[in-house]
Amino acid sequence: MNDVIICRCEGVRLSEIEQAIREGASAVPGVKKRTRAGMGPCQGRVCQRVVLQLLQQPPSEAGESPDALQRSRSPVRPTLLGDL
Amino acid sequence: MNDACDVAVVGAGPAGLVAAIEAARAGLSVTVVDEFPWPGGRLLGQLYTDPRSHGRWDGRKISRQLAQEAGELGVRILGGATVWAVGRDLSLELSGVPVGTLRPQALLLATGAAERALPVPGWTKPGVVCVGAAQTFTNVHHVAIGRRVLVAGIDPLALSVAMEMHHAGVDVAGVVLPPVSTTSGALASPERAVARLADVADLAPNGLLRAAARLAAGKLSPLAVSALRFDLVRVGGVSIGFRTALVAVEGDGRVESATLRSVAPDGTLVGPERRIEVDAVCISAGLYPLTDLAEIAGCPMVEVEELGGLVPLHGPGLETPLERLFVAGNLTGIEGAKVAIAQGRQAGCSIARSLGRATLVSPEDAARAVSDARTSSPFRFQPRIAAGRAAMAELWQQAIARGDQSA
Repeated sequence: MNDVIICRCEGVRLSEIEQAIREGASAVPGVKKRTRAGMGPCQGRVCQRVVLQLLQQPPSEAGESPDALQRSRSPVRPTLLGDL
Repeated sequence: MNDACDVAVVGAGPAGLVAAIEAARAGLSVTVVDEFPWPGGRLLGQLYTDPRSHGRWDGRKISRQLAQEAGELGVRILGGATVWAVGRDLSLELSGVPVGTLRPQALLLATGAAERALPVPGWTKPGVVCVGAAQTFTNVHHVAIGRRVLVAGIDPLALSVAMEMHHAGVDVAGVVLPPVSTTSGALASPERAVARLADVADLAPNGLLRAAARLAAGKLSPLAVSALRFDLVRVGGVSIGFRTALVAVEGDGRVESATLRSVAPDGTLVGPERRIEVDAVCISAGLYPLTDLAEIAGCPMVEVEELGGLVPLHGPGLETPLERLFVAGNLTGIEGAKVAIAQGRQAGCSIARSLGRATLVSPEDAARAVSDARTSSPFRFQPRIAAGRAAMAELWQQAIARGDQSA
């Protein structure tokens, strides 16, 4: 189970994300900076919620500010350079 | 090429199309953009019998009618258009269509939801698909995702798609619980799956789900499940393994088999592994609102678990704290198409009023139609949706009290 891929865009495995959390990552951006999870073409649309679940034990309260997630940036989809 | 219009709508699903119709009726010029080539969004894959109205819910037909109505009212629908940025002035940057930038007076985001991933060893192999993708393949493109398919996820959507695949001639090897892992949490407990099914017993829109739900409400009540001795229940030609979970997917380059294990009522794995031959695995882990455009527009976001996670802060008329930015549909919380349609109508009216136009529907009637749609929906994706809506109303009041609202 430990080598299951979590971020399929960047090929980041569960063990690498757990390692990042042990090294002090407390939110998705910290895991991202250490492992590149969420930096591929889908921009974390697939893995970000999984990474958040790995970080959050127990889950956060309703209404709590969502700083734990990475911030969306434009372009939010893969875009042709000619369209930029 | 730049382009001006009164209203831009992102997302041509039920919420977006109905909002566009309502805004156009009020005399506004409306442009709807969607990534998919054809309008309809998730409606395109929906086909079931509604036990309340005893009629068929043919999503493809409904989307065709809505698109036609919108067209007759002068709404421009741009298919195959990807929005890659939203400016603070609500301008949209588009890719895939000749229009480069869309400059609307008001913007409705109806971007819908995305599927949650559920990593299990082997989940990146070709042949593993999310349940929504399986539904699109089966009902929209008429393509079988495999000859023999395992469905992991015992929830209303997964059971509906399993049944649809079964009817389409796919050999559904079984429906089992999703993988038990650090990343699935409470998803994979038999008790939870059964409680979730019992919740939809009266409203289930297809035979398999209705039978499974009745079973869950009666013989398999959440209390009785702890004493559950049998594992497989066979309903309408499909086996449901209430006490079986997917633990891995194997294959050389593509899916060739799946490994299963028994699960105790509390969700812990017990007993030996067993392997079944399948060439496709369909995983259902729920949906979450697709918020990226709302975020980059600068809309404050709040976490409301009952609505499906992070959602844009919004008021009772689907307005946001940003002037002339509105939200509707699954972006505001995971619910069915009927609710999305009612929300679309409400958002369309709110937009028209924000631009000084009169509407035929009063704000009160529009709001009432949303709660009526919620009550009569055959699907409840989030078990405590009403609590989620109440939490959002509370958060909105707090924001107003703090003076966050610009309108």
